[in-house]
Amino acid sequence: MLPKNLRYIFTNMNKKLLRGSLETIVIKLLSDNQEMYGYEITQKVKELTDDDFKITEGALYPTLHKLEGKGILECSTRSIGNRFRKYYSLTEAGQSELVIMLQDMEDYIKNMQLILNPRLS
Amino acid sequence: MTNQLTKEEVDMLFSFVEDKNVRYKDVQFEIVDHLATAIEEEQATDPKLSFHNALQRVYGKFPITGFAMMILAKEEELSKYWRRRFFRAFLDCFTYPKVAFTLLVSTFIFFMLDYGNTDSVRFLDYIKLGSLIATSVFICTKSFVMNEGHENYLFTKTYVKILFFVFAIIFYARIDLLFYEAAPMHEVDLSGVQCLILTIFYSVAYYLIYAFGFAFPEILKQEIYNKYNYLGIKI
Repeated sequence: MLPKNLRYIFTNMNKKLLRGSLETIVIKLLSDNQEMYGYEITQKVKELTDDDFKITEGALYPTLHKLEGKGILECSTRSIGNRFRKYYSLTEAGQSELVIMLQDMEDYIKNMQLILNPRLS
Repeated sequence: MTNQLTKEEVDMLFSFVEDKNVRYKDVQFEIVDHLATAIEEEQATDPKLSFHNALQRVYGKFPITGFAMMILAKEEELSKYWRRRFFRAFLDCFTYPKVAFTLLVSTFIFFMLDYGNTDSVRFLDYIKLGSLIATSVFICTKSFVMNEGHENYLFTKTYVKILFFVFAIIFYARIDLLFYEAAPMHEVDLSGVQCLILTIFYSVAYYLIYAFGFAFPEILKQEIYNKYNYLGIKI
């Protein structure tokens, strides 16, 4: 078990890394699931990472709106019982953006491994 | 399977969100659905949890600024979105047969200036300001955005902001002043280059007025039809 102060540093680091990768995560999830709503995205990330990654609403919605503004996502609204729900899906531009983002992320991880653990190379 | 919240509970969520300073209806809908889904999940895992306690638990997961950052981010992105849509709509004006019509109008303007003098510039400027004001009056009195209260929706508020910006550009862009400064009291014949510059300026200005009065409101109608139908705005 890590000491309390180290645990705090790692949690904070995790948050920063997560924030930096949020766009890639959202685009990848939407590519795999066709369309999703905000809450569903937060739950899916929790589920896929065994509760390790927790996307906060304060970070998710600005990212969704930013991607929508860029034309990477589009949304449609449907009635769910006695309320409406906004579903997000990838546009054609979003599909091509995904390929670039995944490639960038792969390169980044590879380079980080080279720096952190040179023996692996 | 989770139990859905009742209509009264959903209405309570709308009041709650409004109390937290979210006054835009389009933003309220998204936040309410998020809160409602989260509350339903909380109650599914703990069936004894009351609606109010579940709401407090869910709201506690939001940052200390509440919904403010979400609104700011959305406003910023909507402004960018409208700017992009307006620019694209303006470029779309330069397609056949509109471009053929523009060339015809531009040729007419050029010869009018070439055979005329600074008085012709004044005349073109009156047409520009007159049609801009007429279009603005039409928008303010007839547009459903103004009638429905654009301040109630974030997407119309940001739309109107950009529309005002376009209005200001057309209104304050006064290239004719350069020529009056050179000859404030007299009528002066214009050179070929001056005629060309003024022709381009007035052609673009008239195109912007067309876009301002017709193309941009049409975009908004399409957006409401495609994206914001659920808000029940009457077009």
